[in-house]
Amino acid sequence: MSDLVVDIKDLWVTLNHSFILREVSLRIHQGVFLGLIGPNGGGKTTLLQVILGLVKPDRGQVQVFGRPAGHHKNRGLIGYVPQRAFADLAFPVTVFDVVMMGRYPRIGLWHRVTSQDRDRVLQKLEAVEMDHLRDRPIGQLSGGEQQRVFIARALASDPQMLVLDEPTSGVDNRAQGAFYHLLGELKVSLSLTVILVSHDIGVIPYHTDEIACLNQKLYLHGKSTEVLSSEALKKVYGCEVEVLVHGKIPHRVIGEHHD
Amino acid sequence: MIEIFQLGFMQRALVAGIFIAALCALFSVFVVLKRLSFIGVGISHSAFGGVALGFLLGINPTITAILFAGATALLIGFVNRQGRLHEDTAIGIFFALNMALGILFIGLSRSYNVDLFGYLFGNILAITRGDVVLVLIVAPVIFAVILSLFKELLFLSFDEEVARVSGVAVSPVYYFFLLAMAVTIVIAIKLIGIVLVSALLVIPAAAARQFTTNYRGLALCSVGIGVVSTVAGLFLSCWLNLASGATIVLFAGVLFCVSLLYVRLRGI
Repeated sequence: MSDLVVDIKDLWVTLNHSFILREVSLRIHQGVFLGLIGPNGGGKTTLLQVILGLVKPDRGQVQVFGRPAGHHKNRGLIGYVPQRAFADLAFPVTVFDVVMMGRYPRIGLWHRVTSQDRDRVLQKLEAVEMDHLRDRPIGQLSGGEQQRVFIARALASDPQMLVLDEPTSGVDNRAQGAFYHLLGELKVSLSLTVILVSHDIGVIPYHTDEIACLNQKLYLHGKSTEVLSSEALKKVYGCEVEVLVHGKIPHRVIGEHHD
Repeated sequence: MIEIFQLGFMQRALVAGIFIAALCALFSVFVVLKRLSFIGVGISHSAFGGVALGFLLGINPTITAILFAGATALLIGFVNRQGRLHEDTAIGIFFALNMALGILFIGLSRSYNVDLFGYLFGNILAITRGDVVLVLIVAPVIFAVILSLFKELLFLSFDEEVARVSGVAVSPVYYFFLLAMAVTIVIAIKLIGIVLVSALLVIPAAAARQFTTNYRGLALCSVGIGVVSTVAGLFLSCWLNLASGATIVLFAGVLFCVSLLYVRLRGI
Protein backbone atom coordinates (compact mmCIF):
# COMPACT_ATOMS: atom_id res chain seq x y z
CA MET A 1 0.00 0.00 0.00
CA SER A 2 1.31 3.45 -0.87
CA ASP A 3 1.72 6.02 1.86
CA LEU A 4 -0.85 8.28 0.18
CA VAL A 5 -3.60 9.05 2.68
CA VAL A 6 -5.60 11.61 0.71
CA ASP A 7 -5.62 11.73 -3.08
CA ILE A 8 -7.81 14.39 -4.67
CA LYS A 9 -7.94 14.75 -8.46
CA ASP A 10 -9.65 17.65 -10.25
CA LEU A 11 -12.27 18.30 -7.55
CA TRP A 12 -15.13 20.69 -8.26
CA VAL A 13 -17.82 21.61 -5.76
CA THR A 14 -20.70 24.02 -6.42
CA LEU A 15 -23.32 25.36 -4.06
CA ASN A 16 -26.37 27.29 -5.33
CA HIS A 17 -24.82 27.52 -8.81
CA SER A 18 -21.60 29.15 -7.65
CA PHE A 19 -18.22 27.50 -7.36
CA ILE A 20 -16.90 26.74 -3.90
CA LEU A 21 -13.97 24.65 -5.14
CA ARG A 22 -12.49 24.50 -8.65
CA GLU A 23 -10.01 22.04 -10.16
CA VAL A 24 -8.47 21.18 -6.80
CA SER A 25 -5.89 18.41 -6.83
CA LEU A 26 -4.13 17.57 -3.60
CA ARG A 27 -2.11 14.63 -2.31
CA ILE A 28 -1.38 14.18 1.36
CA HIS A 29 1.12 11.55 2.45
CA GLN A 30 1.13 9.52 5.61
CA GLY A 31 2.64 11.28 8.62
CA VAL A 32 2.42 14.80 7.17
CA PHE A 33 1.12 17.73 9.22
CA LEU A 34 -0.66 19.87 6.62
CA GLY A 35 -1.85 23.40 7.31
CA LEU A 36 -4.71 24.42 5.04
CA ILE A 37 -4.88 28.20 4.88
CA GLY A 38 -6.78 30.77 2.85
CA PRO A 39 -9.20 33.65 3.24
CA ASN A 40 -12.66 33.22 4.73
CA GLY A 41 -15.09 31.82 2.19
CA GLY A 42 -12.20 30.28 0.28
CA GLY A 43 -13.60 26.76 0.61
CA LYS A 44 -11.34 25.39 3.35
CA THR A 45 -14.15 23.90 5.39
CA THR A 46 -15.82 22.53 2.24
CA LEU A 47 -12.61 20.76 1.25
CA LEU A 48 -12.47 19.17 4.71
CA GLN A 49 -16.10 18.12 4.42
CA VAL A 50 -15.35 16.48 1.08
CA ILE A 51 -12.45 14.57 2.63
CA LEU A 52 -14.70 13.54 5.53
CA GLY A 53 -17.40 12.39 3.10
CA LEU A 54 -19.95 14.96 4.32
CA VAL A 55 -20.08 16.81 0.98
CA LYS A 56 -20.25 15.01 -2.39
CA PRO A 57 -18.04 16.39 -5.17
CA ASP A 58 -19.73 17.61 -8.35
CA ARG A 59 -16.75 16.46 -10.34
CA GLY A 60 -13.45 14.77 -9.63
CA GLN A 61 -12.13 11.90 -7.56
CA VAL A 62 -11.48 11.90 -3.84
CA GLN A 63 -9.73 8.87 -2.38
CA VAL A 64 -9.08 8.59 1.35
CA PHE A 65 -7.03 5.61 2.55
CA GLY A 66 -7.38 4.24 -1.00
CA ARG A 67 -11.19 4.24 -0.84
CA PRO A 68 -13.78 6.81 -1.95
CA ALA A 69 -14.32 9.53 0.68
CA GLY A 70 -17.05 8.62 3.17
CA HIS A 71 -16.55 4.85 2.63
CA HIS A 72 -17.82 2.88 5.62
CA LYS A 73 -14.48 1.10 5.97
CA ASN A 74 -12.87 4.47 6.74
CA ARG A 75 -15.07 4.62 9.84
CA GLY A 76 -12.91 5.19 12.88
CA LEU A 77 -9.80 5.89 10.77
CA ILE A 78 -10.44 9.65 10.77
CA GLY A 79 -10.69 11.73 13.92
CA TYR A 80 -12.51 15.04 13.43
CA VAL A 81 -12.40 18.19 15.55
CA PRO A 82 -15.04 20.64 14.31
CA GLN A 83 -14.82 24.40 14.13
CA ARG A 84 -17.67 25.59 16.22
CA ALA A 85 -17.99 25.03 19.89
CA PHE A 86 -21.13 23.06 20.75
CA ALA A 87 -24.23 25.10 21.37
CA ASP A 88 -25.56 23.70 24.61
CA LEU A 89 -23.26 24.41 27.55
CA ALA A 90 -25.57 22.62 29.95
CA PHE A 91 -25.59 19.37 27.94
CA PRO A 92 -25.55 16.71 30.67
CA VAL A 93 -22.31 14.90 29.83
CA THR A 94 -18.93 14.78 31.53
CA VAL A 95 -15.53 15.10 29.87
CA PHE A 96 -15.24 11.31 30.07
CA ASP A 97 -18.65 10.83 28.38
CA VAL A 98 -17.67 13.15 25.52
CA VAL A 99 -14.43 11.26 24.82
CA MET A 100 -16.33 7.95 25.05
CA MET A 101 -18.58 9.16 22.20
CA GLY A 102 -15.51 9.10 19.96
CA ARG A 103 -15.13 5.44 20.86
CA TYR A 104 -18.62 4.50 19.61
CA PRO A 105 -17.56 3.56 16.06
CA ARG A 106 -15.22 0.96 17.58
CA ILE A 107 -17.89 -0.26 20.01
CA GLY A 108 -20.57 -0.54 17.32
CA LEU A 109 -24.35 -0.41 17.26
CA TRP A 110 -26.21 -2.52 19.88
CA HIS A 111 -22.97 -3.16 21.82
CA ARG A 112 -22.18 -2.00 25.32
CA VAL A 113 -19.13 -0.12 26.57
CA THR A 114 -16.46 -2.47 27.96
CA SER A 115 -13.70 -1.87 30.52
CA GLN A 116 -11.25 -1.95 27.63
CA ASP A 117 -13.08 1.02 26.06
CA ARG A 118 -12.91 2.85 29.37
CA ASP A 119 -9.15 2.28 29.62
CA ARG A 120 -8.72 3.53 26.07
CA VAL A 121 -10.69 6.70 26.83
CA LEU A 122 -8.63 7.37 29.95
CA GLN A 123 -5.46 6.87 27.95
CA LYS A 124 -6.57 9.51 25.41
CA LEU A 125 -7.49 11.91 28.21
CA GLU A 126 -4.00 11.46 29.62
CA ALA A 127 -2.50 12.10 26.18
CA VAL A 128 -4.14 15.54 26.08
CA GLU A 129 -3.49 16.11 29.82
CA MET A 130 -7.16 16.35 30.69
CA ASP A 131 -7.56 13.19 32.78
CA HIS A 132 -7.78 15.20 36.01
CA LEU A 133 -10.97 16.86 34.70
CA ARG A 134 -12.65 13.66 33.52
CA ASP A 135 -15.68 13.91 35.81
CA ARG A 136 -16.38 17.59 35.11
CA PRO A 137 -19.43 18.55 33.03
CA ILE A 138 -18.09 19.57 29.61
CA GLY A 139 -19.76 22.98 29.80
CA GLN A 140 -17.67 23.98 32.82
CA LEU A 141 -14.37 23.82 30.92
CA SER A 142 -12.60 26.76 29.28
CA GLY A 143 -12.43 26.98 25.48
CA GLY A 144 -8.86 25.67 25.42
CA GLU A 145 -9.70 22.76 27.72
CA GLN A 146 -12.75 21.86 25.64
CA GLN A 147 -10.65 21.75 22.49
CA ARG A 148 -8.25 19.32 24.16
CA VAL A 149 -11.19 17.15 25.14
CA PHE A 150 -12.47 17.21 21.55
CA ILE A 151 -9.03 16.12 20.36
CA ALA A 152 -9.17 13.25 22.84
CA ARG A 153 -12.62 12.36 21.45
CA ALA A 154 -11.22 12.45 17.91
CA LEU A 155 -8.40 10.14 19.03
CA ALA A 156 -10.65 7.73 20.92
CA SER A 157 -11.30 5.52 17.89
CA ASP A 158 -7.52 5.17 17.35
CA PRO A 159 -7.59 7.00 14.00
CA GLN A 160 -4.76 7.28 11.51
CA MET A 161 -5.65 10.80 10.48
CA LEU A 162 -6.73 13.82 12.49
CA VAL A 163 -8.76 16.58 10.80
CA LEU A 164 -9.21 19.90 12.58
CA ASP A 165 -11.29 22.85 11.38
CA GLU A 166 -10.07 26.12 12.91
CA PRO A 167 -9.77 24.49 16.30
CA THR A 168 -8.34 27.52 18.08
CA SER A 169 -11.17 29.98 17.47
CA GLY A 170 -12.33 31.10 20.88
CA VAL A 171 -9.11 29.93 22.55
CA ASP A 172 -6.76 32.50 24.08
CA ASN A 173 -3.25 33.02 22.66
CA ARG A 174 -1.32 31.22 25.34
CA ALA A 175 -3.53 28.14 25.16
CA GLN A 176 -3.21 28.23 21.36
CA GLY A 177 0.58 27.84 21.51
CA ALA A 178 0.28 24.90 23.89
CA PHE A 179 -2.46 23.46 21.70
CA TYR A 180 -0.32 23.44 18.55
CA HIS A 181 2.58 22.01 20.51
CA LEU A 182 0.35 19.18 21.72
CA LEU A 183 -0.79 18.47 18.16
CA GLY A 184 2.82 18.22 17.01
CA GLU A 185 3.59 15.79 19.83
CA LEU A 186 0.55 13.62 19.15
CA LYS A 187 1.38 13.53 15.46
CA VAL A 188 4.78 12.00 16.24
CA SER A 189 3.80 9.71 19.13
CA LEU A 190 0.71 8.27 17.35
CA SER A 191 2.15 8.45 13.78
CA LEU A 192 -0.79 10.55 12.66
CA THR A 193 -1.46 12.40 9.46
CA VAL A 194 -2.89 15.79 10.43
CA ILE A 195 -4.92 18.28 8.38
CA LEU A 196 -5.40 21.58 10.14
CA VAL A 197 -7.57 24.34 8.68
CA SER A 198 -6.77 27.82 9.83
CA HIS A 199 -6.80 31.42 8.68
CA ASP A 200 -4.08 32.12 11.20
CA ILE A 201 -1.18 32.19 8.75
CA GLY A 202 1.08 33.72 11.35
CA VAL A 203 1.26 30.66 13.57
CA ILE A 204 0.57 27.74 11.27
CA PRO A 205 3.89 27.60 9.34
CA TYR A 206 5.87 27.12 12.51
CA HIS A 207 3.96 24.00 13.49
CA THR A 208 3.23 22.31 10.17
CA ASP A 209 5.29 20.32 7.65
CA GLU A 210 3.39 21.46 4.60
CA ILE A 211 1.01 24.25 3.74
CA ALA A 212 -1.71 24.40 1.12
CA CYS A 213 -3.30 27.72 0.21
CA LEU A 214 -6.90 27.60 -0.90
CA ASN A 215 -9.13 30.24 -2.40
CA GLN A 216 -11.56 28.25 -4.56
CA LYS A 217 -8.49 26.93 -6.36
CA LEU A 218 -5.52 25.35 -4.68
CA TYR A 219 -2.88 28.00 -5.27
CA LEU A 220 0.10 26.22 -3.90
CA HIS A 221 1.11 23.33 -1.80
CA GLY A 222 4.56 22.69 -0.47
CA LYS A 223 6.91 22.77 2.46
CA SER A 224 5.77 25.34 5.01
CA THR A 225 8.89 27.49 4.81
CA GLU A 226 8.88 27.58 1.01
CA VAL A 227 5.22 28.49 0.76
CA LEU A 228 5.59 31.42 3.10
CA SER A 229 8.22 33.16 1.07
CA SER A 230 6.26 32.54 -2.10
CA GLU A 231 4.81 35.23 -4.28
CA ALA A 232 1.69 33.13 -4.73
CA LEU A 233 0.57 33.60 -1.13
CA LYS A 234 -0.36 37.14 -2.10
CA LYS A 235 -2.54 35.89 -4.93
CA VAL A 236 -4.55 33.76 -2.55
CA TYR A 237 -5.31 36.57 -0.20
CA GLY A 238 -5.38 39.21 -2.92
CA CYS A 239 -3.22 41.60 -0.96
CA GLU A 240 0.11 42.04 0.73
CA VAL A 241 0.61 39.46 3.44
CA GLU A 242 2.33 40.04 6.70
CA VAL A 243 3.60 36.95 8.39
CA LEU A 244 4.82 36.53 11.90
CA VAL A 245 7.31 33.72 12.11
CA HIS A 246 7.92 32.35 15.56
CA GLY A 247 11.48 31.47 16.38
CA LYS A 248 13.65 32.12 19.35
CA ILE A 249 13.06 35.77 18.56
CA PRO A 250 9.67 36.36 16.93
CA HIS A 251 10.12 38.36 13.75
CA ARG A 252 8.03 39.54 10.86
CA VAL A 253 8.49 38.52 7.29
CA ILE A 254 6.83 40.99 5.00
CA GLY A 255 6.41 40.06 1.39
CA GLU A 256 7.98 42.50 -1.04
CA HIS A 257 5.55 44.84 -2.64
CA HIS A 258 5.27 44.79 -6.43
CA ASP A 259 3.10 47.20 -8.32
CA MET B 1 -59.39 6.26 48.41
CA ILE B 2 -58.05 2.74 47.94
CA GLU B 3 -61.39 1.75 46.37
CA ILE B 4 -60.56 3.92 43.37
CA PHE B 5 -57.81 1.48 42.43
CA GLN B 6 -60.23 -1.43 42.60
CA LEU B 7 -62.24 -0.06 39.70
CA GLY B 8 -61.58 -1.95 36.48
CA PHE B 9 -61.16 1.10 34.26
CA MET B 10 -58.81 2.66 36.81
CA GLN B 11 -56.62 -0.46 36.91
CA ARG B 12 -56.43 -0.49 33.12
CA ALA B 13 -55.64 3.22 33.01
CA LEU B 14 -52.95 2.83 35.68
CA VAL B 15 -51.18 -0.09 33.99
CA ALA B 16 -51.31 1.53 30.55
CA GLY B 17 -50.47 4.94 32.03
CA ILE B 18 -47.33 3.80 33.85
CA PHE B 19 -45.91 2.13 30.74
CA ILE B 20 -46.84 5.05 28.48
CA ALA B 21 -45.46 7.63 30.91
CA ALA B 22 -42.14 5.82 31.30
CA LEU B 23 -41.78 5.53 27.53
CA CYS B 24 -42.74 9.16 26.83
CA ALA B 25 -40.32 10.29 29.56
CA LEU B 26 -37.48 8.33 27.94
CA PHE B 27 -38.25 10.03 24.61
CA SER B 28 -38.40 13.39 26.36
CA VAL B 29 -34.68 13.10 27.21
CA PHE B 30 -33.79 13.37 23.52
CA VAL B 31 -36.70 15.68 22.69
CA VAL B 32 -35.24 18.16 25.18
CA LEU B 33 -31.56 17.58 24.33
CA LYS B 34 -32.10 17.67 20.56
CA ARG B 35 -34.78 20.39 20.77
CA LEU B 36 -37.55 18.42 19.10
CA SER B 37 -40.48 19.68 21.23
CA PHE B 38 -42.49 20.92 18.28
CA ILE B 39 -41.96 17.76 16.26
CA GLY B 40 -43.88 16.03 19.07
CA VAL B 41 -46.70 18.56 18.73
CA GLY B 42 -46.73 18.15 14.94
CA ILE B 43 -46.80 14.36 15.08
CA SER B 44 -49.50 14.14 17.75
CA HIS B 45 -51.84 16.53 15.94
CA SER B 46 -51.28 14.71 12.67
CA ALA B 47 -52.72 11.63 14.37
CA PHE B 48 -56.07 13.50 14.43
CA GLY B 49 -56.41 13.08 10.66
CA GLY B 50 -55.77 9.37 11.07
CA VAL B 51 -58.25 8.93 13.91
CA ALA B 52 -60.97 10.74 11.93
CA LEU B 53 -60.26 8.62 8.83
CA GLY B 54 -60.51 5.49 10.97
CA PHE B 55 -63.97 6.55 12.14
CA LEU B 56 -65.04 7.45 8.60
CA LEU B 57 -63.96 4.11 7.14
CA GLY B 58 -64.94 2.06 10.16
CA ILE B 59 -61.34 0.87 10.70
CA ASN B 60 -59.62 0.76 14.11
CA PRO B 61 -58.57 4.42 14.53
CA THR B 62 -55.30 3.37 16.21
CA ILE B 63 -54.14 1.77 12.96
CA THR B 64 -54.97 4.81 10.79
CA ALA B 65 -53.52 7.14 13.42
CA ILE B 66 -50.22 5.22 13.39
CA LEU B 67 -50.12 5.48 9.59
CA PHE B 68 -50.78 9.25 9.64
CA ALA B 69 -48.43 10.00 12.54
CA GLY B 70 -45.68 7.76 11.15
CA ALA B 71 -45.87 9.32 7.69
CA THR B 72 -45.87 12.82 9.14
CA ALA B 73 -42.89 12.02 11.39
CA LEU B 74 -40.90 10.79 8.38
CA LEU B 75 -41.94 13.79 6.25
CA ILE B 76 -40.93 16.31 8.93
CA GLY B 77 -37.66 14.44 9.42
CA PHE B 78 -37.05 14.38 5.66
CA VAL B 79 -37.68 18.11 5.24
CA ASN B 80 -35.41 18.75 8.21
CA ARG B 81 -32.60 16.63 6.66
CA GLN B 82 -32.93 18.28 3.26
CA GLY B 83 -32.30 21.66 4.81
CA ARG B 84 -34.32 23.59 2.20
CA LEU B 85 -37.20 24.40 4.51
CA HIS B 86 -36.90 25.08 8.19
CA GLU B 87 -38.20 22.36 10.47
CA ASP B 88 -40.74 24.66 12.13
CA THR B 89 -42.13 25.56 8.70
CA ALA B 90 -42.59 21.88 7.86
CA ILE B 91 -44.25 21.21 11.22
CA GLY B 92 -46.56 24.22 10.76
CA ILE B 93 -47.65 22.91 7.35
CA PHE B 94 -48.16 19.22 8.20
CA PHE B 95 -49.83 20.02 11.53
CA ALA B 96 -52.48 22.16 9.84
CA LEU B 97 -52.95 19.84 6.83
CA ASN B 98 -53.59 16.83 9.04
CA MET B 99 -55.99 18.76 11.27
CA ALA B 100 -57.81 19.98 8.15
CA LEU B 101 -58.04 16.42 6.82
CA GLY B 102 -59.39 15.30 10.20
CA ILE B 103 -62.11 17.96 10.17
CA LEU B 104 -63.00 17.05 6.57
CA PHE B 105 -63.29 13.35 7.46
CA ILE B 106 -65.51 14.13 10.46
CA GLY B 107 -67.77 16.20 8.22
CA LEU B 108 -67.96 13.37 5.70
CA SER B 109 -68.86 10.80 8.35
CA ARG B 110 -71.95 12.96 9.16
CA SER B 111 -72.23 11.62 12.65
CA TYR B 112 -71.44 13.35 15.88
CA ASN B 113 -68.91 11.06 17.42
CA VAL B 114 -68.27 11.33 21.12
CA ASP B 115 -65.28 8.97 20.91
CA LEU B 116 -63.44 11.53 18.83
CA PHE B 117 -63.34 13.85 21.80
CA GLY B 118 -61.82 11.05 23.80
CA TYR B 119 -58.96 11.00 21.32
CA LEU B 120 -58.58 14.77 21.40
CA PHE B 121 -58.53 15.22 25.16
CA GLY B 122 -58.00 11.73 26.54
CA ASN B 123 -60.54 9.51 28.24
CA ILE B 124 -59.56 6.86 30.76
CA LEU B 125 -63.00 5.29 30.54
CA ALA B 126 -62.33 4.53 26.89
CA ILE B 127 -59.27 2.36 27.58
CA THR B 128 -60.20 -1.22 26.79
CA ARG B 129 -58.50 -4.45 27.76
CA GLY B 130 -57.24 -4.62 24.17
CA ASP B 131 -55.63 -1.19 24.52
CA VAL B 132 -53.82 -2.33 27.66
CA VAL B 133 -52.55 -5.46 25.91
CA LEU B 134 -51.33 -3.32 23.00
CA VAL B 135 -49.47 -1.00 25.39
CA LEU B 136 -47.98 -3.96 27.31
CA ILE B 137 -46.61 -5.43 24.09
CA VAL B 138 -45.50 -2.28 22.23
CA ALA B 139 -44.15 -0.10 25.05
CA PRO B 140 -41.49 -2.53 26.42
CA VAL B 141 -40.25 -3.26 22.88
CA ILE B 142 -39.83 0.42 21.99
CA PHE B 143 -38.33 1.11 25.43
CA ALA B 144 -35.72 -1.61 24.94
CA VAL B 145 -34.84 -0.46 21.41
CA ILE B 146 -34.43 3.19 22.44
CA LEU B 147 -32.25 2.12 25.40
CA SER B 148 -30.07 0.07 23.07
CA LEU B 149 -29.68 3.08 20.74
CA PHE B 150 -29.07 5.38 23.70
CA LYS B 151 -25.39 6.04 23.05
CA GLU B 152 -25.95 6.80 19.37
CA LEU B 153 -28.88 9.11 20.17
CA LEU B 154 -26.80 10.87 22.81
CA PHE B 155 -23.94 11.41 20.36
CA LEU B 156 -26.16 12.77 17.60
CA SER B 157 -27.95 15.05 20.07
CA PHE B 158 -24.62 16.39 21.27
CA ASP B 159 -22.87 16.85 17.93
CA GLU B 160 -24.55 15.46 14.85
CA GLU B 161 -21.76 16.28 12.41
CA VAL B 162 -19.04 14.60 14.43
CA ALA B 163 -21.35 11.63 15.05
CA ARG B 164 -21.78 11.27 11.28
CA VAL B 165 -18.04 11.48 10.62
CA SER B 166 -17.45 8.91 13.36
CA GLY B 167 -19.64 6.47 11.47
CA VAL B 168 -22.86 6.68 13.47
CA ALA B 169 -25.71 5.97 11.02
CA VAL B 170 -27.22 9.34 11.87
CA SER B 171 -30.11 9.46 9.39
CA PRO B 172 -31.43 5.90 9.97
CA VAL B 173 -31.19 6.37 13.76
CA TYR B 174 -32.97 9.74 13.53
CA TYR B 175 -35.80 8.44 11.31
CA PHE B 176 -36.20 5.37 13.49
CA PHE B 177 -36.42 7.61 16.56
CA LEU B 178 -39.15 9.74 14.95
CA LEU B 179 -41.13 6.66 13.86
CA ALA B 180 -40.90 5.12 17.33
CA MET B 181 -42.01 8.45 18.77
CA ALA B 182 -45.02 8.48 16.40
CA VAL B 183 -46.09 4.99 17.55
CA THR B 184 -45.63 6.01 21.19
CA ILE B 185 -47.75 9.12 20.70
CA VAL B 186 -50.56 7.11 19.12
CA ILE B 187 -50.71 4.55 21.93
CA ALA B 188 -50.65 7.45 24.43
CA ILE B 189 -53.45 9.57 22.94
CA LYS B 190 -56.37 7.54 24.33
CA LEU B 191 -55.12 8.27 27.81
CA ILE B 192 -53.69 11.78 27.49
CA GLY B 193 -55.30 13.10 24.31
CA ILE B 194 -53.90 14.41 21.03
CA VAL B 195 -53.83 17.99 22.27
CA LEU B 196 -51.84 17.27 25.42
CA VAL B 197 -49.65 14.24 24.72
CA SER B 198 -46.69 16.31 23.53
CA ALA B 199 -46.41 17.71 27.07
CA LEU B 200 -45.38 14.25 28.31
CA LEU B 201 -42.64 14.29 25.65
CA VAL B 202 -41.15 17.51 27.01
CA ILE B 203 -41.93 18.20 30.67
CA PRO B 204 -40.37 15.12 32.35
CA ALA B 205 -36.86 15.69 30.96
CA ALA B 206 -37.18 19.48 31.17
CA ALA B 207 -37.90 19.16 34.90
CA ALA B 208 -35.35 16.38 35.44
CA ARG B 209 -32.67 18.51 33.82
CA GLN B 210 -32.88 20.97 36.70
CA PHE B 211 -32.02 18.22 39.20
CA THR B 212 -29.14 16.47 37.48
CA THR B 213 -26.02 17.13 35.41
CA ASN B 214 -25.42 13.69 33.91
CA TYR B 215 -27.42 11.91 31.25
CA ARG B 216 -28.00 8.70 33.21
CA GLY B 217 -29.46 10.68 36.10
CA LEU B 218 -31.46 12.69 33.59
CA ALA B 219 -33.03 9.58 32.05
CA LEU B 220 -33.85 8.00 35.43
CA CYS B 221 -35.20 11.19 36.95
CA SER B 222 -37.22 11.92 33.82
CA VAL B 223 -38.88 8.48 33.86
CA GLY B 224 -39.57 8.95 37.58
CA ILE B 225 -41.23 12.33 37.02
CA GLY B 226 -43.28 10.96 34.12
CA VAL B 227 -44.56 7.98 36.09
CA VAL B 228 -45.26 9.96 39.28
CA SER B 229 -47.16 12.61 37.30
CA THR B 230 -49.27 9.97 35.58
CA VAL B 231 -50.13 7.99 38.71
CA ALA B 232 -50.83 11.12 40.75
CA GLY B 233 -52.71 12.74 37.87
CA LEU B 234 -54.91 9.66 37.35
CA PHE B 235 -55.64 9.42 41.05
CA LEU B 236 -56.52 13.12 41.35
CA SER B 237 -58.64 13.08 38.20
CA CYS B 238 -60.64 10.13 39.48
CA TRP B 239 -60.94 11.49 43.01
CA LEU B 240 -61.90 15.03 42.01
CA ASN B 241 -63.74 13.99 38.83
CA LEU B 242 -61.44 15.94 36.50
CA ALA B 243 -60.26 15.21 32.94
CA SER B 244 -57.47 12.63 33.23
CA GLY B 245 -55.10 13.89 30.49
CA ALA B 246 -55.29 17.47 31.67
CA THR B 247 -54.74 16.51 35.32
CA ILE B 248 -51.67 14.41 34.45
CA VAL B 249 -50.16 17.21 32.37
CA LEU B 250 -50.90 19.82 35.02
CA PHE B 251 -49.34 17.65 37.71
CA ALA B 252 -46.22 17.32 35.56
CA GLY B 253 -46.32 21.09 35.11
CA VAL B 254 -46.36 21.55 38.89
CA LEU B 255 -43.31 19.27 39.20
CA PHE B 256 -41.59 21.37 36.54
CA CYS B 257 -42.27 24.53 38.55
CA VAL B 258 -40.89 22.78 41.64
CA SER B 259 -37.73 21.94 39.67
CA LEU B 260 -37.32 25.60 38.72
CA LEU B 261 -37.78 26.60 42.35
CA TYR B 262 -35.20 24.00 43.36
CA VAL B 263 -32.65 25.55 41.02
CA ARG B 264 -33.44 29.03 42.27
CA LEU B 265 -33.09 28.00 45.92
CA ARG B 266 -29.91 26.01 45.30
CA GLY B 267 -28.51 28.98 43.38
CA ILE B 268 -28.76 31.16 46.49
